Amino acid sequence: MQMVHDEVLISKARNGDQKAFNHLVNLWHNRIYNFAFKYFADHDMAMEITQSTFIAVYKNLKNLEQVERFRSWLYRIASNKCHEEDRRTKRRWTVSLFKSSGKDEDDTTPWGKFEKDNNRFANPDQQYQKNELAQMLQRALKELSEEQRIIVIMKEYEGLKFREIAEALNISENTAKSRLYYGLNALRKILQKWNINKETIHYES
Amino acid sequence: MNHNKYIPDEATLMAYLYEELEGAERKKVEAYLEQNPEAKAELEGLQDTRGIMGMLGDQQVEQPLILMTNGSEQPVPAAAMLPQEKASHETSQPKERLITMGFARTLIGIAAAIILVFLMGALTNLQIKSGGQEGFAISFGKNDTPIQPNTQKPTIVREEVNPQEVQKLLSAYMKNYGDNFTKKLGSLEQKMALQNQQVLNAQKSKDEPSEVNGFTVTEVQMMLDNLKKDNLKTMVELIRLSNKDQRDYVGRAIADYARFIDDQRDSDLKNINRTINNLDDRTKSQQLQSDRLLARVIERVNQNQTNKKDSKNRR
Repeated sequence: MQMVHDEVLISKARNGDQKAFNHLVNLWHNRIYNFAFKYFADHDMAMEITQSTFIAVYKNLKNLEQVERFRSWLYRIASNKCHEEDRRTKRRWTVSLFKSSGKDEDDTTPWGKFEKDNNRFANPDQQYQKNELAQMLQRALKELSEEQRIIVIMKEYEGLKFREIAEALNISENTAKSRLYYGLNALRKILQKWNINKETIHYES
Repeated sequence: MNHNKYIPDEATLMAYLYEELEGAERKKVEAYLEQNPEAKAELEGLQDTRGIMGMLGDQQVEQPLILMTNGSEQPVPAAAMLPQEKASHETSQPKERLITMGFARTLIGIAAAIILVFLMGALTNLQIKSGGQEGFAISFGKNDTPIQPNTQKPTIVREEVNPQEVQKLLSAYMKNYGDNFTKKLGSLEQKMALQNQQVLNAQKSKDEPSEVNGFTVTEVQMMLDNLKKDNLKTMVELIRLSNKDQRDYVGRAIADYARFIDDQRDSDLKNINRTINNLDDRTKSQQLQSDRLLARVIERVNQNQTNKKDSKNRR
């Protein structure tokens, strides 16, 4: 149903309907933001990616031939933006990244930014633990290679089909699947290493 | 044996894990997993990992619209609007409507101003003309003058006609009088001659009273005539002045009224414009709000669906 809705909006937006485009942005803004946020674990970065993604969408929507492929097309733009930004920041921040990966556990500054409480009426203790878990999971994601991370995010959090992931990343479906396999395995190892498993989570929450 | 030979690759396993595997192949994998507990355990481990990673929820973005709608509405047109703007029929429509509305409003305003100027010009022109002609020629009446001056005109016309008649009468009277006078003079001379003869003949005392009486009568008549003339002149002057004043006043009153109406219309238009703008803003914000809500609802539904899938998977 969403796709049908989207298709109408997309074709309208393609014909220059700014309202439809705004509507489209409203519908997808949150998803793209979260996609970028999971990739970078940084609010500002995610905002930047989201904005530049939608500007690119606006500029190139006319070139989108198949409206049904909007989702993979959108994520393709977003992942390209993430990739570009990643490369740029890595070049700029090589030293600091190295340092932060060396400090690993006690370095809290990269996570300070997303310690926003979304449901502030919840039990603060639970809230704290939930936040902490989220931070750990976010950090686990960051441990993955870029290739694996982007597929894990697309599949696990954005719910794209393998076909769509393959389209978005311009790889074969099998490549996408095996990268996901390695990504999940890597995550499992990381979680094991940090002693995060079903039980510890259930105790905590 | 057959089952043992079949070893699904990672890709197939992933497709299985994410439920993107169709009938026969799915059964194959299931059968394989039944026979290979290690593989099954591994896959379950991955499923657990998925479950744990699924605890990482979405971040809520505050006010996505401030960034996005403004970002997409304003900078984008500046950056890449050239081809799109020409093609954007639907978006430019409201703008055009606004422009035409404003345009029409100014046009109407100009038209109204022109009409007003004409009206005022007609009024003032008439006043000036009639006033000027009146000033020079009191005796002339104008038939083409508009209704309002006409109401006052008849009095003037009558008054203007009267002096003529009066003058005629006067001149006639004067002629008569002159004739009479000459006749009288003639008769007097005759009388004088007679009386002189009589005086010469007999007495001189009878001349004087008759002569005095005659002179006094003419003198009184002359004075009366002069008085009449003066009265007439002053009356005409007075009526002319009052007429002019009245016309000036009416003209001013009409001008004031026209200005007042114009002002009122202006303020009405402003009010209407303001309310329309308010309505526009309100509908826009409502639309955005509903957009946002819709997006949230759709997201929630999707989340629920994925959650259901996950729970199914776990089972």
